Formats: sequence, C-alpha cells, structure tokens
Amino acid sequence: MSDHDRESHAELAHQLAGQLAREAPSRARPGLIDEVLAQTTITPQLDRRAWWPVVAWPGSRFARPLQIALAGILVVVVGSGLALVGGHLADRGSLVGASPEPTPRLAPADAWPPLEPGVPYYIDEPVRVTFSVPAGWTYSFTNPAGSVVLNEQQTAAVGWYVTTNLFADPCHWQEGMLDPPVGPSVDDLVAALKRLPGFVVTGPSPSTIGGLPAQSLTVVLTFSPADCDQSQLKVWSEMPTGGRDTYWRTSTVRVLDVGGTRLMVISTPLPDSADMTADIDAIVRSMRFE
Amino acid sequence: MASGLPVTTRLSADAIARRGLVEQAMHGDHDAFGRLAAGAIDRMHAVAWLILRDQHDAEDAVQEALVRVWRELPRLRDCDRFDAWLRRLLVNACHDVGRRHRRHAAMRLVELQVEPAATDGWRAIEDRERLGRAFARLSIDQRTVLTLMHYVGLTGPEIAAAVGAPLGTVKSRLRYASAALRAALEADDRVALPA
Repeated sequence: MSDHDRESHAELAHQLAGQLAREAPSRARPGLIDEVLAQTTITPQLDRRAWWPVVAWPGSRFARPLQIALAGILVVVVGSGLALVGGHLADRGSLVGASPEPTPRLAPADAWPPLEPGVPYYIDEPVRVTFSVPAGWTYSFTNPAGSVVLNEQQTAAVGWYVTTNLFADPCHWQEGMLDPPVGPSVDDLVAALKRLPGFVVTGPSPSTIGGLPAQSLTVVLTFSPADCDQSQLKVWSEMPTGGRDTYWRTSTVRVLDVGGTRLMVISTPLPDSADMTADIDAIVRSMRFE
Repeated sequence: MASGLPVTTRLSADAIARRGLVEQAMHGDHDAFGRLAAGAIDRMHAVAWLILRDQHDAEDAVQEALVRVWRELPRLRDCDRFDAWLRRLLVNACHDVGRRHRRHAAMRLVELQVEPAATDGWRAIEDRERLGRAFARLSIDQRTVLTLMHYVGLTGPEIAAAVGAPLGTVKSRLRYASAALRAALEADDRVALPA
C-alpha cells in the first residue's frame, strides 16, 4: 500500500467514524427495556452445567497462570493415562475392528457455513440435540426459544423449542396468554394444544423420538394469519419474533420431556412444495437429546 | 508497566459492582439483570441500528439478544467476559434479524438509490449523506465489522470474538468492506453527476 493509499484509507476511516457517531441513535426507545424485562420475567434460565464452574478470577495476579498451569498438568496426566489404557486394550485386541463414531460438530448458529449432509451436528439450544441432515438442508438458526433447521429453499423446517405457555388465541394474541398458564408436564401441553382455537388438532398418539417417549399431534391451521393481530400468528410465549405461521399450516408436533425440560419438536413441510416427508423423517430419526 | 498490585485493587469500583451484578444475574436475580440490561441497552441499540439501519429491526435484535443473555447467563463461564459475550449475542441477533428481513432491506436499498442528490449549497450535508448512503449499501457482514471497529472501537481480535470468525477472516472482511465502501461512494458520485 502506497503512502497515498494509506492516507486515503485513514481519511475514509476518520470520516466513517464521525458519520457513525452522528448517525447512531443516542437512546433506545424508553419502552424497550420494559418489554425486555417483561419477556425475561416469563423466560426460564438454562440450568448451569454442574461440571462447568463459574469463573471469577481471584485477586492474585498469579492465580490465573497457576490455574492454567494446573489445568495443563491435569490434561497431560489424564491424557497419558488414557494413552496407556488405550494401548493396553489395543494389545488385547478388544478394539480391533471398532470404527469410532464421528464427533458431532457444533452447528452454525447463524446459518453460515451451510450444514453438510450426513455430518452429525449438535446444538445446545435449548437442550443439547444431536442430529444430521440430508442433502439440501443447509440452514440452522438458533434463538432464545430454541433451534430450527431448514432446507435450502426454506420450504420445510424441523424445529425444537421450550414452551412454557400458550397464547389464549394465537390469532388475537394481543388479548394475552392462557391464565392460569399451561402446567409443567407433557400431558398439560398436549391438552392445551388440543384446545388451540382456530386449529384442527388430531392425536395425541404415543411415539418415540431419540429413544424418548413423546406424544405426537398433527396441527392444521384453519385461518389466514393476515387477518390476525399485526398480521402475525403467535402460539407460544417464546415463539421467535415474527410469528412464523409457516410452522403451523400443517405440522407434526411432538412433545417430550428431556431430563426435566419439556421440548416441542415441530416438523413442517410448506404447502405446494416438493414432498419433504422423507427428509423430515430422516432428520427426526437422527435426533438425540441430552 | 504493571503496577504489581493485585488485579482486584486495579479494577474500578464500577467494574467490581458490574461483576457483582453479572454474578447475581447468573444466579437468577432478575433485578440485577434489569440493571445490567438498562445500563447496556442504549449502546446495544445504537450498534444494532448501525448494522441493520432500521429502527424496528434494531429493537428486535436488542430484545432477542437480551432475552438470550438472560436465558444463557447461568452458562457464562467467565464473568469478566460478559461484555464480549454480550457483543457476540448482539451481533448474532442482528444477523438473524437481518436475514429474516432481507427482502425488506432490499426494498429500502432501492428507495435509497432513487433519492435525489443534494444541492451544491449543502455540500457538507451532502458529503455526510453520501457516506451514510454508501455505508447502508454494504452487506450486514461488512457493516458489522466496520461498526465494531469505527463506532465501538474494538481491535481486530475483539471483533473476531464478537463475530465468531478467525482474525484473518475479520481482517479480510475489513479490507473488503473498505473497498466496498469506496466502490459505493464512487457509484454514488456517478449517480450524482449531471447528465
């Protein structure tokens, strides 16, 4: 880069910094914080992993290097031990012919890079779910409500969400949520889903997903969300912003309990799209929960 | 040069109080979370607006990020990394919202392109608007790295942590973003030239 280029670059950076400072709003809308606090009041926090300590480094400037050094020593000691054990077992031939399971990769939370077919992925929102996708399923999104994977054309989706309560009327959701709220069990949520106004709900039928028992429902939307409050459909309290009515046109909803967390797995092919049933079944079959 | 004092004595009272709030919020104290959120929301909103260029989208992104902060706080590993973690969640939320609304963004871009050029008498304002228009034409990824560098004042490694990309990727994004900004300015010049 020449001196002239450098000067030009610095000048542009200077102008841009000034421009951004001028443009940026100085304050958020006053009601925004109230909306956040109202939403977080009804949003449960995730459990802390028992083996995952909170780190608040103590005062001594030697503490952090010391802890890092101890961690390193621990890794070396444990690693050596495992290597010895592994070598011993291999000598006995007990592992001969065993093909290791591929280690699941963390799925990209913001849809980039695209998912690869057949590769085991995991997402930790809202519980750890391991899954794989067939060819053409490229997107994964994660948000506070849960996670969803979509095909490239975004005509089919498989999502999994925590659900603590439902809107009394998903079309006229501004009227509020069910009061009293949905109870904590799988059966409570299934019963509430069965009563959703404006939907035809069939089931439940018992099924399994990831080896866990689940209740399966088929949910069919009978109205156009265009006529709803703010032209949006809102079914449950943690439903992502924007009210994706597409999840509910004709969906299979499975409700299960994963170690105390009630999860709703929703699979939806959009109408008028190519048949995605086989793809969706393959994804659902691949799902494992922790 | 390091003072030799214990780390805690070098921390400001504000930083210690803030760490205390983070720890309380991690343990489910909603009031503590409320104070953290109230202290951060204006800055978060400004950053989100610069990235998304839309009031409603910026509010959606801030709201999503803060709800996620509340949910995931118990799993934050290091209280002192709270600010970096908050930035990461905000950037992710901006990208999620941006993708959901990209069609609308494209429409706004078209509207921007047909705005009349300012008159010569308003040269300084025109220059600023020109830069603003050029910045708005960049991709979300490009606006994100430029905002984090030139508005928030982050270093390359800090931007890498915020966007979840390797440092080399961030450097090339910054390079391409600067080049794209120049190209957008030049394109704006061509549009503004009299026929």
